[in-house]
Amino acid sequence: MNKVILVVVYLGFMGTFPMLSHAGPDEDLKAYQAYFKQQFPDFKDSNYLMGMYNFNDDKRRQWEEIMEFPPYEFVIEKGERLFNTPFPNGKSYADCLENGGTGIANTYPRFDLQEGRVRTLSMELNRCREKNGAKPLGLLKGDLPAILAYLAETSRGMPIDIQVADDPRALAAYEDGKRIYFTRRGPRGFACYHCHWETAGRRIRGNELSPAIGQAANFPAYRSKWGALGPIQRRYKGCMKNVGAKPLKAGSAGMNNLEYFHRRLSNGLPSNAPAARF
Amino acid sequence: MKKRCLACLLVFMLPAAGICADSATDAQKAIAAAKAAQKEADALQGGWRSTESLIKKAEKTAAKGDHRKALALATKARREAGLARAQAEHERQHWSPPPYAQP
Repeated sequence: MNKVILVVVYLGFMGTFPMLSHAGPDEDLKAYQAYFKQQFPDFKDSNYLMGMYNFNDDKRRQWEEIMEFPPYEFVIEKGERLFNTPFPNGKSYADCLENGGTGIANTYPRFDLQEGRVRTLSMELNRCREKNGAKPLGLLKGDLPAILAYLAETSRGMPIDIQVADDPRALAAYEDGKRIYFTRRGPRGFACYHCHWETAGRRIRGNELSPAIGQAANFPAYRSKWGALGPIQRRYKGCMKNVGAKPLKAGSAGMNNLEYFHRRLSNGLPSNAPAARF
Repeated sequence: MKKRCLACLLVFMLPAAGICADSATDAQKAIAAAKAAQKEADALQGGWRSTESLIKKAEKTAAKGDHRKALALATKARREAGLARAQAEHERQHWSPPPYAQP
């Protein structure tokens, strides 16, 4: 009798274990996207990109009016100018980036197999500056987000394509980002998913909550609240502050891993950055 | 007469000064302890913003000389930092996507 129980337990374990061992980033993505499809069966790609404006007609109209003269256009022009200004040694950003920087923003962040860590496009730009004798720029405000806006514009409409390389370090970075995303923080014990999964489409105070999928396809974005264009890590900091948590440092491994995980949720959607948000 | 008065004053004032010095030291110790606790929570990516505000308030209050209030604020900050650390440690062990987000 004991042997029978042992065999049953063993078979049960063996049946479960392969399932667990195969649950990686691809399986995650399928499950996540299936959840949102179930929540919003009528949503097309454009709906995911529209975020909170799906859920409030007044705000959508206001947003559409803003989009008639998108506030980020001047920033794109500034970014292009900065991008094409050579360093004192005559080299330029285009010399540092794959394909001269055109049409690559939709594939960042990437996992750098040589360095063994996630690299954001901002990091690539600053690395290029340092390589060419210039000081790195601030990550959240000013010239760097403007250059990001220009680069994002060159990959507008291209599918978001964040790859987790078949490397245990890449998987670990992805898992770390996932942990940060699903971790409760701050005195109110909120995790990202509380607002953007189970209450997506509902309101928190005066704001409708956007679904997690599609958010990152819009960044960098011009936010009226900021009166400026900023990268997604600036938005993460805002979210963390809103729940009473001390935000992670921009450009830290944790923040980069969070961006790696979060941006991957939008894989397959057309890049819509830069975008405008309230 | 004057000497007697001075002696009396000293007799009564010295212990009071001692109490002030003690409470100032206590407040400074409590602020340092709160900062250390906050650092521990931060190291786990789990610090709370309100703790930081409490520590700043405690420092300002101490600088103004209200050591009793500073001590109370710092004690509260330390307790809060302990809660933040406990939350972060718990989350490190038990974080999980909700059931509906699992493959």
